[in-house]
Amino acid sequence: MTETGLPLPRPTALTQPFWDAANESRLMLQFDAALGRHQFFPRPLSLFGPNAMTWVEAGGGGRLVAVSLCTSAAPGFEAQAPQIMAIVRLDEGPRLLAPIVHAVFGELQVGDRLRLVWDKRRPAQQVYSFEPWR
Amino acid sequence: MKPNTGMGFLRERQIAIMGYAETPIQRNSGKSAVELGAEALSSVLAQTGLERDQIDGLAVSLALSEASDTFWSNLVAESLGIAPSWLQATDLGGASPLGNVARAAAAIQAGMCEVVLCLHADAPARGVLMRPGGHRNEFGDTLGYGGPTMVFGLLSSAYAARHGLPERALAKLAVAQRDAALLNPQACAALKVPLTEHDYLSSRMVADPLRLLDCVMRCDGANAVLVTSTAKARQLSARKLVHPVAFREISNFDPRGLVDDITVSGFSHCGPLALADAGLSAGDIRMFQPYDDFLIAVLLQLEQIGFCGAGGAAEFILGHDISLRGQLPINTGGGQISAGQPGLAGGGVNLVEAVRQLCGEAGERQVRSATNAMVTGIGAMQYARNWGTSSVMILEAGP
Repeated sequence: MTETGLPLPRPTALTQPFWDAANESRLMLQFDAALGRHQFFPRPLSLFGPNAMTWVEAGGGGRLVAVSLCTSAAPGFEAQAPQIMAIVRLDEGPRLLAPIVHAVFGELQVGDRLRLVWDKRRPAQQVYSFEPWR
Repeated sequence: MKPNTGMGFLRERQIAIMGYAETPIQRNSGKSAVELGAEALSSVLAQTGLERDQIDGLAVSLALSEASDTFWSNLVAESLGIAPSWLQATDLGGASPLGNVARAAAAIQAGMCEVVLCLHADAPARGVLMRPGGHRNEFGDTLGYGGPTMVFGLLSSAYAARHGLPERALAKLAVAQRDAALLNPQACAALKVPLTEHDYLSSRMVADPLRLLDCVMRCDGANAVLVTSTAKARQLSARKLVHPVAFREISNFDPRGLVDDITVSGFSHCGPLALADAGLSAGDIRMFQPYDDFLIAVLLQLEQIGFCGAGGAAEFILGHDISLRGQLPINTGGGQISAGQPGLAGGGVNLVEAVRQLCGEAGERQVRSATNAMVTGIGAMQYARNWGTSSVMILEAGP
């Protein structure tokens, strides 16, 4: 928790590079270069083969797969309720769970183009979210 | 996916459920999970005439109220005075009770034990002590993950984008299950009020497009089934037998996220397999007792198990009588939606109801010609798709 009340991640050896890059406004995906496949969330192994994974930066574009207006807030998000939560498919392939900001819930449609926007409310850690790509 | 052998000894009716029990489902019982479990044990012993020492296997589900105890199954055994030669704790969430019956059958078949108590108890009114780690914490809680209610709001959104929001079918299902719960003495008192389709359609959004009356109410309670070999059941002069004749389960379906439609779950895999194992088609099923943490899950299961095609669940529900007197009664005890969800024991509610119906002991809500039933389980949530475990069991009444 921060003074904002918003929860903070507890990075591991595996995920520290992801969160460090997030603080530089870069969304990193794991990439299996041998097979040309991206994955998210970060895992200790490639889902696709026996190959080592590298980090690559996502372009930041994606499409809305599913969206819900959640009236009861998750712990730490009470001041944000109701919050628009979504599943986003990145242009690189993986799906992410993330909030949608700068949007009216009733105007969002599955299939909409979205782009990455950084949530800078936590002093110690930037966190990814998405907004409509108008 | 590579097929496995499908537990053929089940179809040969080598395994039997010879007893069942269920406590009342209550908002706040004032009891612990162990105390509720003891009530279910006493009840199943009284029903079957067995002594506690004749139980040599114990399978439990985890409990939200006891989730910090990494020696939970032992605590249950010690508190209840059982000395199992086979002890199992299953962490498949709502798929644990069905999973326990199948694991008990496998353990009996392997000669590890003979008489297994599958006991599912939870008392979340005392507190929910689970604290997820890994991506659930780091990439879920940090982002505002809102639990299963949010996931099912998202699944409803994805389904609606493809097929439209099936509100009329959901309303009909809500009313059918509530009508059944009104006849269920074990159902939670807070839910035992008549419901109309208008009530459903005017209930408030909690994770738009998901409504309050799409969701279960978390309760306390316990349920149990006693599983043994059919031969042993006869030796023990069992009153009535119910045979699990097919079981399929899959966890982490689509592990690489290659299926584009996030509503496609493990039921698309294990539903058709379970029917084939039993030598049945969906049209042969006489009662459907699907896991119902959210009503939309019932529609997805109807489609993916094969009662109808993709996008066809609304038409199926609107075109069939799903009441207790109907062609395909669905969740004849009210399901978890209208009887209450006793925490992680919730997967046992519809299992016990199916066994009770197949024993002909469902009283006012007894379904006629109840010769078989399909029961399902759903457990845990996967990242940015649907649920973690899907399981299907087909049960038949013994002679």
